[in-house]
Order: sequence, then C-alpha cells, then structure tokens
Amino acid sequence: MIKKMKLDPVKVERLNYLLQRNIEEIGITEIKPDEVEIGKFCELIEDTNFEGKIVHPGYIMSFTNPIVQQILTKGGPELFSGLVKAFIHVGSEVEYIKPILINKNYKLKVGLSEPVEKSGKKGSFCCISFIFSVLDENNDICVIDNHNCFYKL
Amino acid sequence: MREKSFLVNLKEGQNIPPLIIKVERKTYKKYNRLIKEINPMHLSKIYVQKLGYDDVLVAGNFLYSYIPKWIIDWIGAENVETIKNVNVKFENPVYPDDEIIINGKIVKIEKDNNLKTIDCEFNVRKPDAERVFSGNIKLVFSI
Repeated sequence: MIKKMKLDPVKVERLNYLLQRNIEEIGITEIKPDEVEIGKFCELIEDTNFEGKIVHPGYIMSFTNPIVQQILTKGGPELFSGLVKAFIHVGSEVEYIKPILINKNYKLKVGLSEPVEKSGKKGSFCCISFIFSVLDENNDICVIDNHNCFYKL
Repeated sequence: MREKSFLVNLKEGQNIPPLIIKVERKTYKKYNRLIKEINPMHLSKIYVQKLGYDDVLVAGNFLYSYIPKWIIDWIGAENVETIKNVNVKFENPVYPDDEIIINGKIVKIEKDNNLKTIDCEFNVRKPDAERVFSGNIKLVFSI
C-alpha cells in the first residue's frame, strides 16, 4: 500500500517492484567477514585500539553496501540510472544482538519497507528502507540495520 | 582496560569526550575502493553538482563508522559488546576534507537486576556549528 504519494505513483510502484524483484532474485547472501579487509577499515577510521575476533560494529554498513549496489544494479540500467535519479542513505536504526566474528560464516537477509513520500531540501523523494538482518549459522539474528533511503525519481 | 569505577561514576547529563575528525579526501577514496562503491553521489562531482551539491557526498556508511569508534574510544574495546542500539539521522551533507566534531552525553541511566543501561545522544557538527547528523546510542553493561 502506498501512503500519501504526490510523486508519480506509477514510478513509485515500478521502483518498489524492481527493488523487491531484485531482492528476491539475489536471495540470501553468504558473507564471511575478512580479517584483512576489516583491518584496513579500522586503519581508515584510525581505530587503533580495536583489535580482536569481533567485527568492528562500525563496519556493519560497509558489509551491507555491496548488496545495496547489487539490488540497485541487477537487471541492467532501468533502476539505478533510469528510474532513480539519485539515491541517498538518510539514516539507520541498528540493533546489535550478537557479535559478528571474523572468519565465521553469516547470512545476509534483506527486506523492504513500504514506500513513503518524504520532502527534503532537494524536493520530494520516495523513501523505502532496506531491512538488513545478519544471521549466524544457527539462523540467530546478530545485527539488524533498518537502512533508510531516499530515491529521487 | 577501563577501571570498574568507570561504570560506577557515570552520571546522567555527563558529557562523552568529543571526537574531532577530518574526513580526508584521500581516506574517503580508499574507503570507496574498499567497499567497491558505485553510487555517483559519492564518486562524481559533475553528477552531484547537477543535483545542487558542492562536491561528492561522504556516504552515511562511512560517517556512521565513526560513531561506534567514538563510543569504543570512551568505553574501551573490551566493552564493545555493550553497544546494543545505534540510531542515526543524516541531516546535512558532509564533503571530503570537511572537519566534523562528535559531541554527546548520557541522557539516562537505568539499573535492572544485573544490567545497567546507558542511553546516550549525540550530534555531529561542522566547525561553523552546522549540524550534519545526530542520533542516539544504547549501551547495556552487566554489573
């Protein structure tokens, strides 16, 4: 159900459909946090006091970013360089339930929120959130990121 | 290792030591390579200028990274698992080479059985006081 849409409802429906379709086609992704990559990340943010077997909690969105890109680009240019003129991450609500460990296997599951129109300094946007869940080998949820995104259509 | 007195001495209204960050363009480019960024909002100056921005935008993903780092600097890496929730709202653009300052404070402390919950809020501003993002954090310590 689309709420209070002033944006072109056809475009919003199409956006929602394409995102949902791509998420279904990509399915659940296997991930394995890599020690070297996370080491480089800690170096970039100058977190010298953080080392160990647990993935830095600041890394969670760097972890999910490649999936966001896959969702936006899968199926050719219709979505990202066609329908969507700009894509902005405007906020997140992250819940840490269990620590993510380096070199262990995890699954990344993605869901979508309902589309909602939002207005910003740059005009009207369609807001659809990615709901990322990182699950461990027992399918226990370790981290949830409600990743709120604006789409300029 | 933080002393036990660290937890005992926490008070509502207490400020968390600020963190000043210069978001170096070179560092941000390295980050974009690390995460294989493709969004032109973070890569193409020509693209973003057409949308009315001055320069490429530093991604929320990267800016977010500094919030847990700031908290870990304060609570110690040994307490990383006490970070339970981080909510963040990006309000204004941060551009490469901008300086940002994270400030925050404890807003609420609750004790329940063997747990101590610390709610904190933060805001991130440029040196001219423009707020660029803000949010809150929940820490839960076993006592």
